[in-house]
Amino acid sequence: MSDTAARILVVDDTALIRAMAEALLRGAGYDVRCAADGAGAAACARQWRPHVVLLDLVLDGEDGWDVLPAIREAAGDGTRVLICTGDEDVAEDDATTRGADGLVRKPFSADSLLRPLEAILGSVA
Amino acid sequence: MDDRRRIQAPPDGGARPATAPTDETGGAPGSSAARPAADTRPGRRAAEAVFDQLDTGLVVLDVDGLVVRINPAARRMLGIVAPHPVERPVGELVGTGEIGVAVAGCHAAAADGRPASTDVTADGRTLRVSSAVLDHGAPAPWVVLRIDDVTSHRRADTRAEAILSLVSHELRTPLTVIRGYLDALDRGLFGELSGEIRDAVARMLEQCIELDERIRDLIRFRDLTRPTREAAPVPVDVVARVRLVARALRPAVERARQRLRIDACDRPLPCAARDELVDAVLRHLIDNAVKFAGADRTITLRVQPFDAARLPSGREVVAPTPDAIAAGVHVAVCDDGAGIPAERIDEALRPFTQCEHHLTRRAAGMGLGLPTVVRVVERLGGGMWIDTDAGRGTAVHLLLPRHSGDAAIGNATGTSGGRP
Repeated sequence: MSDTAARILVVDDTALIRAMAEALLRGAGYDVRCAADGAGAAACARQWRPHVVLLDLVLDGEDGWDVLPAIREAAGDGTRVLICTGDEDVAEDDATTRGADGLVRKPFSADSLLRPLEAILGSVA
Repeated sequence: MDDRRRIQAPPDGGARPATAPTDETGGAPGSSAARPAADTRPGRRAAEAVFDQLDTGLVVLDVDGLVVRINPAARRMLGIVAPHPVERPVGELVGTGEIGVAVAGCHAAAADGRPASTDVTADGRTLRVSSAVLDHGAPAPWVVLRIDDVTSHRRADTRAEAILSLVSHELRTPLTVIRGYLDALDRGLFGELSGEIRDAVARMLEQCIELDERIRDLIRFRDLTRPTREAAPVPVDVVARVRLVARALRPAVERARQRLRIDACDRPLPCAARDELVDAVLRHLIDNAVKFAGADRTITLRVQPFDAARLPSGREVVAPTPDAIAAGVHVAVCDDGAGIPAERIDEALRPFTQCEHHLTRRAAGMGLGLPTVVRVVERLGGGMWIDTDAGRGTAVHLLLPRHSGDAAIGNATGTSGGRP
């Protein structure tokens, strides 16, 4: 992986989803790490400083909204957070008003995952 | 009043029942009004026997709410123990509990020319109370209340919703994984694919997307049963949504050898809703028309400001609020196809009916189309009418409450492109 590739942290409690998202993102040229829960995500964010965190809202025994502040605090100011959800009642506005930078709908396709990622990385650059 | 909403009385129907009520029907002894001269015609006696033996409860009321006639099933379901209910106010007989409120509401609505239907749960049973106007030839029409015990339907619905919640979650995770890998293959993220493999991947991906849509339908239907998940409505331009959804579904319409026409207002008409709910409603209604109207038919989508002076004809499925009537958006999805026989409408409004008839059904789907539309319209505070009969096509009319704020129209361009 190139040193200049953007760093993406995938936070999802389902191993198969993490593996698929990692394969898809690596295929698209990103540097990827994964975490299964809020504590693991915060630890990785503190040490690795990802450009973007893809945070699933439904984690095993945890609510994604609840772990978001700790991940933000650990990652620092430069990190953007995209919420991943299959809940149609969560609107784009809800994501931004509750502290995230955007929304990715599940189940995600390559387009629905990569497009907001590229957009948010473009806005960071 | 719309004549099609009236129940026509038999030609010999009079201002009062022409025969003496039996003990079961509760005529007051010695009351000439309640116990008119006996009519011995065999047809009338047979009709009365049917009336008394029906499992469906029937109560005939005059405009003041006095009982004209009641059958034993209605007495049983409404818990009326008075030995002689005829000529007594129905409110006095059913009390002021939930059933009493439902009965009073349905009577008032029908007396006002608006047949109504409501479900009420009491003592572990769910009763559906509905009303219609009985045109019996006298200046003041009567009102017929129909009472059905729908407890078993409701229990089945609750079980089905719990199961679909589990199933949809269990299906969605593997589907997400399969779709993700197929998507990556399709985009060449794992290297170039040969022609045949590329075609196979594309077909699998197409079916994954189709399966995902069906799961979304299940989840949406489940979520609509949860009032606590109410999301704040935003202004949604119904004209723009109709054009977007029509464009997305046009290939399916053309595959069914049908035509799709749009007759829409030339300015935005914002309703208070959410894009995905309006899209789901439109998609289900168009999808139904595509599946059931038949080939060489025309599907017409109409969007206009609601005309409060002219309620749509047909059966009222969701009673609109006065506010929605005063300022609403009228959406109609019409076809000139086979129509729905009157006796099948209730079935079509029940969720999963398609599954009940999986061996004989004519079209794919889970039978969630109309039930989803009903729930969305109820949630939005709108109204819904179905005007159909066998052989004369179907028109589903929706009244969506107008958004009163000055905020800009919501995400009218959606995810599939800008406004056409």
